[in-house]
Amino acid sequence: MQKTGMVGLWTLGCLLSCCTAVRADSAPSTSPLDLSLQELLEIEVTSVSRQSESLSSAAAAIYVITGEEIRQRGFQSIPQALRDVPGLHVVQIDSQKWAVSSRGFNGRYNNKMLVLIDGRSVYSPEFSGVYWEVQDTLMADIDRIEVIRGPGAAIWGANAVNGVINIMTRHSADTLGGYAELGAGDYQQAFAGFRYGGRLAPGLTGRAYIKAFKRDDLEFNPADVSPAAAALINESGTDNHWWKQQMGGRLDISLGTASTLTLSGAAYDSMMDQSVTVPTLTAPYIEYPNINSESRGWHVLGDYSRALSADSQLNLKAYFDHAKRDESFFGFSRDTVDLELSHHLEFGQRHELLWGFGYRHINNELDTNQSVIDTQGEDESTNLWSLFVQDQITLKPDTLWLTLATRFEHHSYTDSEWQPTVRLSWQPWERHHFWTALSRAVRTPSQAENEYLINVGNLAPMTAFNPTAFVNRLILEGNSDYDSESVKSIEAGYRYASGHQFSLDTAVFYNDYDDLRSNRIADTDFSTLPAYLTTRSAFDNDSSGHNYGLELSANWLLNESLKLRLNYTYIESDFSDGQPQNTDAPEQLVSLMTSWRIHRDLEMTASWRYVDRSQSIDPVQVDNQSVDAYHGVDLGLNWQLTSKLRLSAFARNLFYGSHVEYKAELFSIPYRVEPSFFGRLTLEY
Amino acid sequence: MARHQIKIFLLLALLLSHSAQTAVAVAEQPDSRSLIAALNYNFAKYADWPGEVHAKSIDLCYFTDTFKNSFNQLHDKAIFDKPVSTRQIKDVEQTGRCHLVYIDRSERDILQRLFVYLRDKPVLTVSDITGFVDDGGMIEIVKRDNKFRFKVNMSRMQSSNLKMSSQVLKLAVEVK
Repeated sequence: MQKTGMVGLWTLGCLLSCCTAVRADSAPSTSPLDLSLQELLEIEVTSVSRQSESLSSAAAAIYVITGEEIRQRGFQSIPQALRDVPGLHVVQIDSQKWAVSSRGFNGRYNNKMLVLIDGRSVYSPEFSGVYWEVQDTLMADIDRIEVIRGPGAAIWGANAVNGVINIMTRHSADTLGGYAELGAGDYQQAFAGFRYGGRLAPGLTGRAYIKAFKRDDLEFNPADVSPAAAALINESGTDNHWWKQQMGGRLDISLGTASTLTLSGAAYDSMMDQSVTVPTLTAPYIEYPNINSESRGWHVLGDYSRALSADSQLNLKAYFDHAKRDESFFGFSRDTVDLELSHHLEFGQRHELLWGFGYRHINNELDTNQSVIDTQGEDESTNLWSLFVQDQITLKPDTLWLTLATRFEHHSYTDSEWQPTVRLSWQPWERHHFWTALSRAVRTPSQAENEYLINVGNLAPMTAFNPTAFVNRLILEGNSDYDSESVKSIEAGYRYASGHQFSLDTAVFYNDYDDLRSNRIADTDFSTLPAYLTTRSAFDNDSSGHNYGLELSANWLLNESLKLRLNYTYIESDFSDGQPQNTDAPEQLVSLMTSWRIHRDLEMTASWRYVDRSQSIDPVQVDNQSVDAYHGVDLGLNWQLTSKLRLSAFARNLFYGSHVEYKAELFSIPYRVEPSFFGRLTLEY
Repeated sequence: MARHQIKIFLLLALLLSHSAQTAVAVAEQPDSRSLIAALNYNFAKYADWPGEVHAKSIDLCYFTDTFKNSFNQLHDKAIFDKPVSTRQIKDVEQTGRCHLVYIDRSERDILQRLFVYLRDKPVLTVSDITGFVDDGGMIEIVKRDNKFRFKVNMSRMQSSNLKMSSQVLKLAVEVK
């Protein structure tokens, strides 16, 4: 670790001293307004901008990661790109798995964040949450990632309790030509991606891509678990390397001047080694099989939009998504059909209306041959109906806006739900913007909570928690009366942008949660004696609590070539069960990021982050598992060799050695994240 | 722990101390937004609108905040005897009172409503959205070899009774 640190610093030092010697020929400064059209066309365009981005007038805590940052900082997966976003707690569990959350409740099965890729929900209904390892696209095709913290349910739909992550890919007219990337490193063992985009006819553009990668194991360290567990785990193996391949494409069609149609789709296949925890009926009553699991899927999406007049536009979106997972303890095959019709309408000088309805049908077949999870449900299909309306009212032009929105939803598992929001946005002076919001949002029950039977652990006989002479199987039962969890939230924010150099975005929030998930011990079943005892507990909604916090993002453009950004998060929570489900949020998160254009063809990025101590629930043990605070540095270097060819080098998680970022609440063992390096060659033509 | 922090401080200190010297290198070229504002000014200079003689000013409009500074630089300009006036607009319906409207890349979503609204109205539409002239726009700014170029949709301009000087047309990479 010490050695890596020193090497890193040396490299950096050398780079810096070389760079000072590099000077570009600076052109004499002339206002482009004094030039003729012909002269204007002779000027080389720099991508440097003298202005910071515009002040967002959104009445919500919003943060945007641009495609440019993804390229600059060498993010090779979506969770990596989310790491330094203010208010987001992003941790890596093993080589494949990530947990991402805003405003608490983080977990492998964090159920309070809604994630959309080009409008397609990738939120999984089995456990609720997102399988981040299979949410991917060619990273170079991402236009932007919008992260909205706080309840977004009125517009985006159920489960947007603590936030929405909206991943948008570029229009195919913006990805014309070829793109190829090739890279290798220690963790990122090898990756390759290729895309070609073209204009097929006037008003018809398209692209297709293919990508593949292989990522290495994260390290398991016996010190992170009990000695008994360590011995068992080491015996079974701790492999967690994986590979994945994906292909996809997009077509954008202009149908006359008034309508457009976008068609997109992708298919993937992934093989992952993983260690899982499986309870057994004989001593030592648990095993940690290291198994190979496969995940496959594909989707197609159509998005049609038609302008009816200057102030009225109709949008119809439909997608079909198939996902299949095959793990030794759990497996499913799921089909989703989703339809949404929305209408955007401005009327009078003051009203901007958005309304529409949606329908989603999910058919999910659980593989019940697995030992750990079974189902008691008979119907594998669920339906979700929704109706939404939003009116943005201009109370005073350019100064004061009021937004009223609500969504009505009906889900097979629950009754109807109303999810309203009221937002006020005030821009008293050009550079200052204030907003506040009151919202309610719900998180609909997962299939697990509604109908699964989960063998969370077996208690050994003659022990403190099981004084009997028999093994005690702990079964967590789904409960068909289990209700939605809900939040009532109040938020406020302030944004400031000086004309050129400095901008600030802050938000504070208070969330009051109700009907949170809890477990109720139902009964002990003796019928299975003498083989074992069964203690059943069921999900119910008896937990509640609140949290509050502050999020801040400050941006400096120190000069034309140097940008500095500070992101900071503070959160406090108080829950009736001592801590919220899954994970207690780290109290503080800090990220300090710079990007520096050393020379026209050479740029460097650096970020430092600090993540406070956190705790997560162990489903079987009474004690919580804690994860120590950690920090780390990421570095990136991009060198434009020719106008088409770029060479990049990236280092991640430097200067802190290997450390555990997260201990999963169920099924997984802890792995350590360590410093890693990779190089990448990019060709655009 | 303390050692790590020292390293990080060193890193930052190095970054900051060196940046000041190298910044000069990139500083003095006009940025792309100023160039785009200048291109728009030139297109307006060589365009002819029906009834232009009666106008008090030539109104150039744009949508997003990010172009405010660069368009504001056009304030003291004139086209023949008419002062140039620049205006940020928020809605499609406000474009009807502009001579020229610039739609930047971030506003792709409003294109269809804009085309429906401006159909045959004498408003010169300019954009850097790829495919703009194919979809129904008039002038599309494109980047070739790191320099700006433009395409013109003449038939669209003619149906809106707009004229463009041949001096501009001969510099276009494509006229249709």
